[in-house]
This record gives sequence, C-alpha cells and structure tokens, in this order.
Amino acid sequence: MSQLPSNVEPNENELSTPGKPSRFSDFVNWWRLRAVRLADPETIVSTIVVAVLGLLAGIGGGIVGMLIVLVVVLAIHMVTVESGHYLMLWLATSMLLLLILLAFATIFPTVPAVLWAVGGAIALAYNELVRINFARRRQAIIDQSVFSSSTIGVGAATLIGMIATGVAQVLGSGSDRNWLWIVLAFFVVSLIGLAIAIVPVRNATAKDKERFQPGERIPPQPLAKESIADL
Amino acid sequence: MSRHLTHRFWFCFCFGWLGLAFSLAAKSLGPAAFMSPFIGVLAFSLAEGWWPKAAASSPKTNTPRAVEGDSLEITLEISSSQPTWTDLEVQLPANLVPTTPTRVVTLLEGTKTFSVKVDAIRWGADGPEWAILTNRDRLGVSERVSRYPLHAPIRVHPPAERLNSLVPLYRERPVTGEHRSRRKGPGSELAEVRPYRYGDPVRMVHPRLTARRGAPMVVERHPDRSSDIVLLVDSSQDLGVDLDTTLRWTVTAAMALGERHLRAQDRVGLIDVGRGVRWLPAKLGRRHLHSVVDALLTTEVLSRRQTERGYRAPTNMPKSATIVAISPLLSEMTLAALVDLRSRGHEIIVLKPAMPEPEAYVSLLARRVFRVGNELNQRWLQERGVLVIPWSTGDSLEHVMRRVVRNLGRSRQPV
Repeated sequence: MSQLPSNVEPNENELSTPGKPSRFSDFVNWWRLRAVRLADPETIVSTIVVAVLGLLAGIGGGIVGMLIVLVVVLAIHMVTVESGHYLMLWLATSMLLLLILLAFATIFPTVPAVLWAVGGAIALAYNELVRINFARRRQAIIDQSVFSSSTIGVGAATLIGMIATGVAQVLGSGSDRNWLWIVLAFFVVSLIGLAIAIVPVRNATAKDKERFQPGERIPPQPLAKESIADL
Repeated sequence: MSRHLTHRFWFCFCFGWLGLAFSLAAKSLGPAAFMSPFIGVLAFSLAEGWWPKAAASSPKTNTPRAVEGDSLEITLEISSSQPTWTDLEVQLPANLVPTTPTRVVTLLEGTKTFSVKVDAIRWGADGPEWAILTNRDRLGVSERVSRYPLHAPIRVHPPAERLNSLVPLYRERPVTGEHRSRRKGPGSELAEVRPYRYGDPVRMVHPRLTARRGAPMVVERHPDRSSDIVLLVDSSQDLGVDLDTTLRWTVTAAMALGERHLRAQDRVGLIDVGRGVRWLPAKLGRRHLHSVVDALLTTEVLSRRQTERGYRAPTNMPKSATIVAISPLLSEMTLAALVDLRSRGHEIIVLKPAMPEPEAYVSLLARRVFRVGNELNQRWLQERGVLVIPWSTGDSLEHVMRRVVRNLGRSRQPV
C-alpha cells in the first residue's frame, strides 16, 4: 500500500527480531507464550506420559540413569511440541516405543502378548495427543468432540490390535508359529493392493501445484465491479 | 481439491510391517502384538471410510455495510454425511481483522455453524475470501483438502463527511437545482431591483417597493439551476500508512462531494483513473448515489501486471460537466487525463491531498527532486487553466471547498 515512506517513527519493540527476546519484558513474554502452549491439557498429559515412561525406562541405570533418560526424553518431547513437525512427532513416538521396550525389559522378565499390545496403545495415544496439540496451531479452536472422537479411535484401534493378538495367540498355541506367514502374506498382499489403488491419487496430488500448504495465503478472487462500466 | 494419504498411514504401515518382520525373525508374537494398535489404526480407518467429504455453504454476515471501526460477525455452515475430523479455516482480507479465531477443528457429522467476529479496520468492499476445509478420517490416515471461494462482500465505508458547500456552477442545466444561476429569471435569490420597463410582465411589479418609491419597481431574481459534476478519482497510487493515506482521503472526499451534489439535483459521474480508466456515467438520484459509493469502495491500486490499458477519454461525458479531481498529481496518466479533459473545454478543479513526509533515510536531494517534480506538475496544470487547491492534513473538506468557492468566485466574471 505505502510506496512513499511515512512520518511514523518506528516502534522500538518492532526493531527486535520476533522470537528472540532482546529485553527483559520480551524475554518474559516469550516464556509466557510458551507456558500457555504447554498448559494445554493434551500437552500436560503427554508430558506426564513421557516423564513416567522415561523414569521407568531408566530404572536399570539407577538415579543418575533415570535423570539422564528423563532429561533426554523430555527434551525430545519439548522440541516435538515446539516444532509442530510431523517427522519429529514420529521420532518422539519411536522414542516412546523404545522407552516402553526398555521399561518392559527392566520390570517384567516375561511379558504377555496382551501387555505388549497395551504398550503399543500407549505410544499410539501419545501420538494422538501430540497430533491434537499440533491442530491447535494458528490459533485454532479445538472442539470437545475432537477429544472424544480421538479417544474412540485410539480405543477401537487398540481393541482391534488386542483381538488380533488374542486370535493369533489362540491359533498359534502349540504349533511352530507358521500362522505368522499367513498373517504376513495377507498383510502384504492387502497393502500392496491398496498401494496400487492409492499411488495414482497420491502422485496426482503431489504434482498439484495448487495443493494447500497450512498457513499459506491464497490470492483472493477478483470482486465483480458491478455498476462500473469498463471502457 | 486434493486427497492423499497422510504421514500417519505411512508410519503405521512401517511400524506394523516392522512388528510383523521382528515377530517372524524372533519367532515370537511379542513384536507383532506391540505394533498391533498401529495395524489396528489402518484397519479401523479403512472400515470407517477414507477421504470423507464435507462442504461449506456461502457465508452470511450480520450486516452488508459497515463503517470503519465497526464489529461484524461472519457465519458459515459446514456439513458432512459421515463422521470426519474437520479443520476449517477462513481466509479474510487485510481490512477485516478477526477478533476470534478463524480456524476451528471439530468432529463433523451433519451440519455445524461456525462464526468469526471481525473488526472492519479499513474502508473497502471485500469479504471473506476462502474457506479451506481439511477433512480427515477419525484417526487421520486419509485427508481431503478443499477450497471454497466465498462471495459475501462487506462494504466498509470511511467515516462520512457532511458537506454544505457546492462546487460553484460553471455551465448550468435547465433543470431546477440548488445552484444560483448568474442569469435572471424566476427563483429565490435576489438579483436586483430596477424600475419597470416596457415589456416586463405586470405581475413582476413589486407592490410595496412601488408604493414606497412612487414609481413601478420590479424585483429581478436568480433562478436555481443544477449542473453536471464528474468526480475524477486518482487510484494510481496510495501513499501513506494505516488510515492516513491519499487514496482514503480521495475516496472520502469523492463520497462527500457525490452525496452533496446529488442532493442538490446535480448529475454526478465518476472517472477512476488508475492503471486503466473506469467510467460511471453522470446520472441523478439516490439509486445512483449507491452506485457511486459502491464504485468508490471498490477503488484499489491495481498492480501493473493486472491491467495497463492507458488513458482513453469516456465517450459520453456531458459537455457542460465540471470535473472535480482528487489527486496527489503524481501519475502521468492522471495528468494526461486532466489536460485532455481541459482541452475539451471542461472546467477542472483539482483537490490535492497532502502527501506523507518521507522517512528519515530518504536523502535531502531525493526529497528536493520529488518536491520540485510535484510542483512542476502542479504549475503545468495551472498554466492550462486548471485550479489546483492543496488539501493539507487536518483541514476539513468543508474548509477546502470554501477555498474552492472563493478562488472560483475571484476568477469568474459575472454575466
């Protein structure tokens, strides 16, 4: 809009780079904003899950080991929440799976199959919580229905997994586990079939230059200049 | 619209695959059971259906017109036949600032209403631009992104200025109006008192004056006439920041002048000279006032890429029209338009809004060159008989119009 500079004096606060506190008040505001983000219910719950699992996983290393694991996992968790990047989310989920493995290996000498499924469900629930937190970006309002829907989804996925595990355990008991080949073959064939069905769609959208990037601004439609006759 | 599988599909697939592979390698059910919830995600989302559809209806606003500073509410309906995690984002133009979040994430099944409260901070005729709907299945494995163009223009008016003065009559139309004609005839304004002459209608004789002076006396009056005014708006640049910009001043002045002259039974036309020329023919009446105001509110500085058609004079310009241009006199096209109109015999008055002071980093030489160039443009127009009235910051339009009246009164000879 403005081509000629104006006589408005620049505000001193505007001179500081956003995100980098230059003065004490900016520093306080910077941390206050982050505190608000960390005070979301799903962030609190996911942080508690990570902290508890970190402590459980570090039990084998004594107090120092527990603290080191706790610091590392909390750092990865915070970076994930702060970055809002899905690759970081899956890195954090992988880390959580490792923590659960470590905790199980330390606490339980033999782990029943159903408990493994519960471990996987915890990692999935963590993933879902951080996904909801990501959805809050760009000042979004999160409806309560999203929480109940996610709970139903994670619950259903866990139930399916547990039922499948239970069925596999019943089918495979007393044999040499050859049934796993059948499961694997079914899984691979079904997914290859799906992938074949999906690839054209995926490729088409990947090449679509107009694909929406979150937060981007789309050029507005030209307004109809009614009542003006263009020469 | 685009649809694709999300990161979650690929990660769940990889985790499930790894769990099964480790199970096979270790000949144990444990790893497969560990990853079974991730396989469950794929199975559950597939059972619920991938790529759910949702649609957004056209938005509604609580008022189609507002004044700068007003608060408005924009309501939008979204609907879907199957449960879908919907992420709705409404894109707004720069002159509508949201006071509530423009993005909502909800589980949609059926119809839901979403509203955004906005503050209209700057004049214009813009509305919500786009609704971007991202629909995912409940567990976020598949995604469909759709954009819906929204058509709900909200006309935001700058604060209106009430004018009393009129641009003085140059060439009158034979229609009754508010301007005092320089001719004599039936009207309300007293022109002169003179003795009765042979040929005067007898009813022109003024009884009291005749009785007082002892000889038949006649009162002559000026008839009230209307005229044609064409407002020339220079939209080739908008200088200034926030609300103190030349184009805002221009639009505010043009609206006030248009409203005042239409009230005075004048025909009012509009020429918008920017990168091209827009022309609204001169007409009368309240309906035409709405057309003029709407046309002014859609005035914007177009980029050189959008249109570059050069100046072409309107073909049906009234010959008797007085042109009132509001321009900082920087655009060559505006200067060409003014000179062309002057050469066609129109009386031209230019109201020149004050330009903002340059920033401190602009060198003294650059300032001087700019000022000299601008003064040369102004003098060049004045030499061709164009009246240029500077409009400084803080002056009301009424004050400027009084200066116009004073200057024109001095230059014109009474008939």
